[in-house]
This record gives sequence, structure tokens and C-alpha cells, in this order.
Amino acid sequence: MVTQIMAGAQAAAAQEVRPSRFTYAVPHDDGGLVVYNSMRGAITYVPQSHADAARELLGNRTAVHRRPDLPQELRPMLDGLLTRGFIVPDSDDELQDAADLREQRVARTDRLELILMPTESCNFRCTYCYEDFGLDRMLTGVQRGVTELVRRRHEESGLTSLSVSWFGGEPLVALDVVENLSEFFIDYCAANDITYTAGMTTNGYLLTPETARRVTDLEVRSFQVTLDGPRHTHDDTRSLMGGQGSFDTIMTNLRGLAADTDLDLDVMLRTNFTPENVGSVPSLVEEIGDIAARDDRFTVIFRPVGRWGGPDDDAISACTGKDAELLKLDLNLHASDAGMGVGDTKMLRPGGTVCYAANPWSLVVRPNGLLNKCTVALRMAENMVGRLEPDGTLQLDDERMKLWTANDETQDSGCRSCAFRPSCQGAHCPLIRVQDGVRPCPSVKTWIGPNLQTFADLQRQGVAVVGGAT
Amino acid sequence: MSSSASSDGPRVATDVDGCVTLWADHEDWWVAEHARGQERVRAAGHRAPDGLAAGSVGGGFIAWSGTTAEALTLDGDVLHAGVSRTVPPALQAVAAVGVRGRGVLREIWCGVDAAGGVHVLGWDGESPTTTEVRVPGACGVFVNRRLRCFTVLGETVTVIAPDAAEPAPWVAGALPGNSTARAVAFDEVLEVVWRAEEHVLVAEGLRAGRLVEIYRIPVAAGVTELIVSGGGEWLLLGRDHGDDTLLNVAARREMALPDDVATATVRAFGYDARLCALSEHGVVAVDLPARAELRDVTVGTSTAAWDGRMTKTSSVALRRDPTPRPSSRRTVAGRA
Ligand code: SF4
Ligand code: SF4
Repeated sequence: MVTQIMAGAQAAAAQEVRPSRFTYAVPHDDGGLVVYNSMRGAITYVPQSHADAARELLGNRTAVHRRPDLPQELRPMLDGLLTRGFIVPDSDDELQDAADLREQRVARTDRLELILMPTESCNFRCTYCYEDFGLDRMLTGVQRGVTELVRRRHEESGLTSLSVSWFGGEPLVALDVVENLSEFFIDYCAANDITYTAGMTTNGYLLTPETARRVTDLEVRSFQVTLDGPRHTHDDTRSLMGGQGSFDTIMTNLRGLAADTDLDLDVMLRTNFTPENVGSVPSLVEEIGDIAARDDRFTVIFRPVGRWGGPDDDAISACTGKDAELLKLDLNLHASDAGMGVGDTKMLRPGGTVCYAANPWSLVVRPNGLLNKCTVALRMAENMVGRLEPDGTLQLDDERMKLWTANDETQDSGCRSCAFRPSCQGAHCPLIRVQDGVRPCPSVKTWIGPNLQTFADLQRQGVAVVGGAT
Repeated sequence: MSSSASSDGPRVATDVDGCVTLWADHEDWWVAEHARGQERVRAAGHRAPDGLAAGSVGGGFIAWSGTTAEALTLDGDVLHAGVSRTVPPALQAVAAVGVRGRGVLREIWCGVDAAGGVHVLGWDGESPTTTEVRVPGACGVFVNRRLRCFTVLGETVTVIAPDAAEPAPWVAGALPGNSTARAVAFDEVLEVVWRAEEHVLVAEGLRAGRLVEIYRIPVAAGVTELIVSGGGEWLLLGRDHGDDTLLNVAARREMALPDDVATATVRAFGYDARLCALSEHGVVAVDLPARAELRDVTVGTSTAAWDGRMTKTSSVALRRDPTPRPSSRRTVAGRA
């Protein structure tokens, strides 16, 4: 659905108004304007015919407009911008609103997010992977600790929401652990009126339709599967432990999932691209399109391969900076043209680029009971924030926890004045702050112009860019 | 079969967590705890079972003698005896898996006897059930926890999904070179059957119900025993005449064992990529090289780098019972 600001929008009551400090207005190549507000998560395309009026009202961020003083022809535009939150009453304390947003997030005690590693073993050996596969299946005592933790949290804080993400290693290698714990979660949450959701990051090799049925029956419904281009590039970087290719098996599995229309799941297909494989990614997109075009259970996302601390980092050629961002956006448009849903649509929402590691209620549970915050730097001392005991108690190092949960906009005046603050809250990647001591701006903010233009184009193609809000 | 070894057959087993190994020598049992930082060895009484196997949960074991088998669980310092049942005579190997049914997790055992008989040992309510399946030449049984089934290796690779009432075996294929295979093992991470032929290790994966060759790795001759690490990354290659070696599967590199491990009669792959040498005197734990260390050294120097690390680690990781008793043969309550 195309959303454009047109004359005739409802007039708002406010008389003295100004552009929201969280509004971006960036030119579109076709002469129009793309307007976005990070507090409302709203994005709108203004066609060329109305762009000058919008610019007039949004161009000067500090200008205060009095509606009666504006020329008649600007008033419908003002009303439209006001209704969608791009312009706000001058009396609004937007800084306080942003601080409240962050506070509401971190203060939640009724929520628990567990990123569970049922094993760190993996049947793949991807060239860029940062894990070292030391820990096998989750220990029996740790599994018990996880169930007791949920029980304790509910008894102590009244859980209303439990979300579980299965991670690894390859979680399906330890499907039995996933099953055992999922059955507990389902039963316990149902008995105690707790909302329960679960997803899984898997390499897809073992995700046959039969296995998918087993895990969706256990309410694991969101999957992220990685494909690194078509067969010849994927098999170069994502081989089995012995070096054999994995592409054909994964594609067979995806075909099986797509063909089983009764399977109630969401599959996000992630493609990591490098200068070497990026040229062939479009052919992969077409191959996926043949399987899952216009099947809204399937979406695609694209990520430049980074140097993530794995043993082969020096050998990795990475796409970086603006080039990487533009390639990514281009691939998004290509995917949309091929009839595929685009998965990168939530970043523009308030909190949309905050990393889970920044949430005090989010913990990574390693198979040996070690607690981490970030799923990347697994062996980094600052990331080992505690231990889960078999009775469900958490031995947490408060100072280390704060490195991840309080190392954000509250400590950074630059973030507090940032127009993208409601989405990121200075917490896009706490690891970057911990490791490098710098501000972790997400690439969507750094290259906001091309991003907003692409999202506006996607929205005009019918993609729900901010999860339905416009 | 288990992921541990001794020179006298299945009288040694490591639990599924890779944290406890139970073994029997001539007339005593020994318990070694080898989780990182908790290493200790204790005597567990005077009884010599015919065989030992891992149970389906951490700290759990199965011990059998003659036609009786019982479940054992290590709980703190105590080795508790659990259910006991009659089993067919002359079992050579046993495996256990937890199977779900009507909301209950039930442990099912699978035993292989000396005549190629495979016995699925379940429980129907309170009474034990036994179902026999024929697998010609059956010599080993392994658990596939992901699929909650057993893989029986003989002349064929036979998968048994152990519904207690009605085991459902299917044959993935013949085990090629069965007559020339010196040792077999199953890796549940890659879901491959390993077999040692003269000068070569061959791995065949169970893919879409068929066996597909996925590795053929030349190794020094004489392998008579294969043990797979919990993560599938390492194989311990035992040879009758000594010269046991370690193979990193991903890097396809065979390497000598550190001295402490090479001379041990009881070894176990432990949790967190460790190789342990166990004796009544204590635990010697070697941290296996992490992936980074295998990859970021050049081929010309990698063997030296591994050897260096393993030797160094084995000497610093030597830990014995932190509170030695007058005699370290402390009897464990409940199983004296
Ligand atoms: S802290 Fe950074 S690297 Fe770690 S999980 Fe979050 S975004 Fe990823
Ligand atoms: S990290 Fe960057 S994008 Fe995020 S709030 Fe701070 S300045 Fe803005």
C-alpha cells in the first residue's frame, strides 16, 4: 500500500508546532521526499508535487510554526505531518519521551528472553564462523537449571512473556534437548498464563519437513537459515565438517517446507555476501523465488560478511562501509522484484535496532551453564557475565552485566541528541562499546538516506516496512 | 559402546555429559569425575561387572553381569542403584536412549549379544519388555539422541527406533567392507558411521535413509579401535601394538598422543573438548586444540604447534583428588 501525504488530512488541534527531533526528510532520486520518524516508526513517501511543501515545514528543525501564520496551501501538509508525528506540538518533551522508551525497555521484570545453546557442536565448518565448538550438548544439570530459572522468575516476578531462541552450534544436532525443554516451556507457560514464543537459528541441513513438523508442534515457529549465494559460492564457505557441500540438502529441505503449506512457520533466509559472491547472489534470489515467491512465510535478508573474530578472519575479504550498505539495499530490491518478502523491515521501529544483549532480561545460556550476553564474542571475559546453577539461581556479575545493559544512550550525550535514538537507544551493539569504546551506530543510521529511499520503494511495492505502521 | 576405551572391552563407560567415567578393573569399580575444575577419582566398591554403558542422562550408567542389568546414577558422592532387570545372556554392548511417550521420558536400552542378536529392552508400565531384532554380524550399538534411536553396526547399518512395544528397524545399507573393517564407530553429530580399514578411515553418512561416503582419510595402519569425541571433531585411533593416535576430522590430521594419555589404559573424551587419561591415581586432562589453533598455523608447522600445546597442557592439567584419603580407594556409599 502506497502511503503519500495528500491534501485533506485531518487538521490537528495544536497551534504551535515544530519538526520532531526524530524526523528525517531525505530526497528521493525521483524528486520526491522520504520522511521518517524514529519515535513513531513511521515512514512516508511524499511525491515530487508535494515535496516542496514538506521541505518548507521540515527543513529547519528548530523552526516553530504557528498554524494560523502559515500560508493556506501549507496547512493540509502540516496537518498530515502532524497526524503522523513528523511534526509535533512545540510543548512535547521528546527527550523525556525517548528516555522513557529506554527505561520501559530495561525496567521490564515480567519478561524473560533466553538464547539457549543446546550444543555448541556443529555439523558445518563455515570459513567465517567465530565459534570453536568446544562445548557439546547442554549438560543435564544445566537443562534442569533452565527449567528452574523459568519457574523462579515466574514465582518471583510474575512472568508475562517468555521467549526462547535456539542457537548454537547447530541446535538441531541436539534436537532432543530442544524437545525436552520445549515441552516444559509449553506446559509451564500454558498453566501460568505466560505468552510463549520460540525461534531457531539453524544452518538448515537437518531442517527436513518432518523435523520442522516436530519443532513447530513444540511452538518453535521462526527460523533463520543461511545461504551464501548459489551452490558454488555457498558450498565454498558453508561446507560440512569434512568439506562436503551443503547447498543441495538445504534447498531440498526448503522446497519441502514451502510445499507443505500446512506448516505454520516463518523462515528468514539470510545471505552473507562478500566481494566474491555478491555478483551471484541475485541468481540465488531467483532460485529461492522459484520456491517461495509470494509465500509470506519466507523472507530474505542480506548481510555483508564481517571479520567476526574467527580463525580465518585475515583471509576473509569483507564488504565494508557504504559499498556494503548499497549492495545490501540493492539486493533487497532485487528480492522484492523476485516476489520475496524482505526481512529487514523492523529496524525503523522504536527499539528496532537495539541488540538483545542490551536487555537485562535477555541471557545467553551456554551448554555448560555459563551465561553470556552477546552471541558473538563467546570467550571474551567481559561477556561471561555469570553462571546458571542447577536450582535455577543466577550467579551474575553485576558490573559485567552493566557493561551490556547500561552502556547506552544514558552514558552518551551524542546518542541523546541523535535523531535515530528511539530505534537504537545507543544500544545497537554493546559489544562495540565494550570492545572498542566507540558509539555503535547501526549501518541503517549511518547510511540513512539510501536506506529510507529503499524502504520507501519497498513500501510502495507493498512490503510492510515497519511491521504495518506507515 | 561408549566414548571411552580400555584394553579389556566394554568395562568402561563415560556418561552422556562427558563428565563422569566409570570403569571396572579386575575386581574394583572406579569413578572418575573429569568436568573442568572438578577432577577426582574414587573407588566405587568391589564388583566386576561384565559390561558398562552410559545411561541416557548425565551421571547415569548401565552395568550388567550375566543375565542381570541395573541402572546406576552418580549423585554427589553416591552411586545409586536404580531399576534392575533380566537381560539376555552374553551381551557385548548396550546403549540407552530417552524416549517420549504420553508425556513421560522413558529410558530404553538396546543390547547386542555375541551371536548377532539385538535386544530392545523397554518397560511396559512396570514390567520389562524385550524385543529381539536380527542384525547379522552385529558388533556395536550406538545411540542417536537427535532421533532418539539406535544405530546397530554389523554386516548392515540398521537403525532401530525403539518404540517399546514395537521397535521399528530399518536397514540403511550394507556396511561395505564389513569383513575387512577392523573397528567401527558412530558419530551422532555428523550422523556418520566410521570404519577403519587397513591404512584408511572411511565415514559414511546416513543421508535420506541411505549410506553415502563422505570421508576417506588415510591413516597409519593397524587401527583396531575407534572412539569419537562428543562434538564429532576428534577420533581416537587405538592400535593393538600401541602407537595410538588422534585424528582431527575437520583438518584430516593425525597426531601422536601426549605421553600421559598414550600410556593410560583408560581414556575418555570429556566435555569441553578434553581428552582424559584416567587411573586410580587421578585424572590427566588434555585440552584439545581449539579450532583457531588448528587453522591459523601454517601446514608446515602445525603438527609441532599441536604437539607443543598438548604436551604443555597435559602437564598443567594434571589434577588428582583434592582431598586424598589414607587410601584413595574410598568405598562409595550404596555400592560397596
Ligand atoms: S552485542 Fe553486538 S555482536 Fe553481540 S549480539 Fe549484540 S549486536 Fe551482535
Ligand atoms: S549509537 Fe549512533 S545511532 Fe545509536 S543512538 Fe547513538 S548516535 Fe544514534
